[in-house]
Amino acid sequence: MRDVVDVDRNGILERVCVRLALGLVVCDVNDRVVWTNSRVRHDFPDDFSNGTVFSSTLDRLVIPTSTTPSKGGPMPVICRHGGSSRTDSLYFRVRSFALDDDRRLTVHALVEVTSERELEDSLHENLDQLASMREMIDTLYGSLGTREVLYLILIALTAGRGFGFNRAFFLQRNGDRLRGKMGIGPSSHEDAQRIWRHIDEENLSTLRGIYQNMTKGGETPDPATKEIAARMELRLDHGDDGRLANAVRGREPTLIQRSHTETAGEGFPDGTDRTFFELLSSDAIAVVPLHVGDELAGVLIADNFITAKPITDRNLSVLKTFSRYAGVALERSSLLDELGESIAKLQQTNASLKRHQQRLIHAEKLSALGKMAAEVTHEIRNPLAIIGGHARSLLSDEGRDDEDRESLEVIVEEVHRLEEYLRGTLDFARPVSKHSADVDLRAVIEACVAPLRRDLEERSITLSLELGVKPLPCRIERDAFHRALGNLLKNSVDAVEECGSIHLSAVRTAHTAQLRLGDSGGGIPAELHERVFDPFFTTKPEGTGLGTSIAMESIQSIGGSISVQADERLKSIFIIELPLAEPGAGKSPLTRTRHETHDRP
Amino acid sequence: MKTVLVADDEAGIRSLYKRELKKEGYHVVFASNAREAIMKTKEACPDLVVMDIRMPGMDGIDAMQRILESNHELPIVLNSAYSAYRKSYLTRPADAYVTKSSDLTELKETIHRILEEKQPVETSLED
Repeated sequence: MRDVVDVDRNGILERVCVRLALGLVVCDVNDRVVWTNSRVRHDFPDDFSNGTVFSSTLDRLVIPTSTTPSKGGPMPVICRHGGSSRTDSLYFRVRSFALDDDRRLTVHALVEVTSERELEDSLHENLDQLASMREMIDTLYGSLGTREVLYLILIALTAGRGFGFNRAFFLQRNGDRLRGKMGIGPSSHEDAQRIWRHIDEENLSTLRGIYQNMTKGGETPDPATKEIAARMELRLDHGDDGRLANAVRGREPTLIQRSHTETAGEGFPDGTDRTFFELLSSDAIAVVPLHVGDELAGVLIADNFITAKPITDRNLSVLKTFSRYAGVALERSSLLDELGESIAKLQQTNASLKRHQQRLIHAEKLSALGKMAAEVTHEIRNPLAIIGGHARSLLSDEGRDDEDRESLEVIVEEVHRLEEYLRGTLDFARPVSKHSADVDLRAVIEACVAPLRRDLEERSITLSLELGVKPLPCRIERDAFHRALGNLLKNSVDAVEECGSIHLSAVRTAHTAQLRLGDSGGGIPAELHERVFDPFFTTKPEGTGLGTSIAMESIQSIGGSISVQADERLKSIFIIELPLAEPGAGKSPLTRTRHETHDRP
Repeated sequence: MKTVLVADDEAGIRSLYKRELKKEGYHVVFASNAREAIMKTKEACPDLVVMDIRMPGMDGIDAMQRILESNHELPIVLNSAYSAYRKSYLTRPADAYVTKSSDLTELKETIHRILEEKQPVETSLED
């Protein structure tokens, strides 16, 4: 102690220290502080009091570095923490040396390095930002949809690994206006703690990871912030001359702060700026115009309304680079969106064309079928009329013996059977009578089935008819229905061949009479259901492919519909829906039928 | 005795109709194509024509129109193996349309009905 007093007896050391802005701590052989200069007393009023152990204090104040300080290694740096703000902190590098040879006194010189330290910090920060920018760019370029790209841009602005803003918004340009479209970030301090903790807990390390977590389950992230975004609007035309609008018109990211006078609600030249600041409850915002090519596509707005961390020039300069890449990513994604829309439209058009084409083909086939059926009928009916007619003629003559009569009767009967077959199946080109009649469908079905009974018996095919006990009044044209059911029954008989069953039921539904027809013949494979009604489509080796199309044509012509459906038991069944008779149309609707001859020319 | 002209290119039909219509008491004359039919309506002055539709050359519908141009009172029964024409506007001028069948009942009844209906008109004219 005496020595020290001796050293600075004249205050020389103190003056030198002041000149050099040095702090000086002198310790005795026991490492106890015995003297400090005014700088140390000013900056560390409580830390280096006389008698305290220097190394303990040093340990407390030293800034951790990646390399452990060792003898001959980097000199330790201590920090005098400022109040709440980091900018008030001071940093000192500590250099120690013995004052005399026998080390009775040690001098610790505290050299202030605050500015170097800040430079270093900001360098690290920039390096971090550059590294994460690379990730942002890679992620953005790997993304497809515009919405996803926009969210990723906002996430890049807010993620700790990115720019670390508290909130970010995107306003989309539409002509002369910009309207808020998206916003992410917490809406309050509590919300902020929750969100940031969540991100830590979920260990979301990549931008895409954060995006997927935010949007999982189709949720809109941060609805309260999005709500704020929805209320943002800016005009680009001459009407708005505020700093915000001007910043958007420029190409560079800009920092807009409100001064203290503005905070007090004065000095706004323009209403929009005030509206924005009030909406955001923020004093400083970064405004980043996004360009696609040379066109302004929108603007990003970011702020630190919770941490109040200042937005630095360096932030803005990195944002400038970022905004260029973001613009390119946005352009790419909107092109992809357009391409996707065009493809979807093309697919739609294509599908509709295909449907149209199929209908045309079907109509054309039906028309061809009609012509062919008419020709076939004509060619067969003529000789049948001649053969059968002559046989009838001979039969009517007197004086034939029984054997002749029997032969003639066989001819007459077989010809009649063929003629009936023609009438019932192929004869579908005949224009349909407009005179439908109210009939009991059960009776018409019975009449259709009757001619088949003999054939069914010979082939040991059981016909199960479930027609109910009540009359089933329908308004149909008998011949057309007969033709349809005749064709379908004939198909069923062909499918079963021998020893099987055919099931036919008729019930009344809410608006129709419904017939269900199936057989034990194995059904129609589901993949062929669509084609069953195509003319000339057949699964039978000797089929004409006309039966079902004639049935369809006939049923449709009388206002009904027909379809084929999969069935658990019979694999497939035909379902025919027929119009019901109008109630009260006549006194006795089930017996009133009009004969075809009424319609004759 | 009423005269019926049968116009049909099928010989089998002509011979069948000859047999059967004679039994009904008609005098039957024949044409094997449409042109011959038009000619015969003038030569034989039939009371009714049974006209096939599909015949080589001119068809029965054209022939019917030509006949009606000069003799619009002459009853014509179209008789074809095509059922498609039954309700076509082309066949509307005909008095009846009967689809060909081995059973001639409908044809005979139609001819009979038309000639019966025509009778009183002729009577009144004669009066």
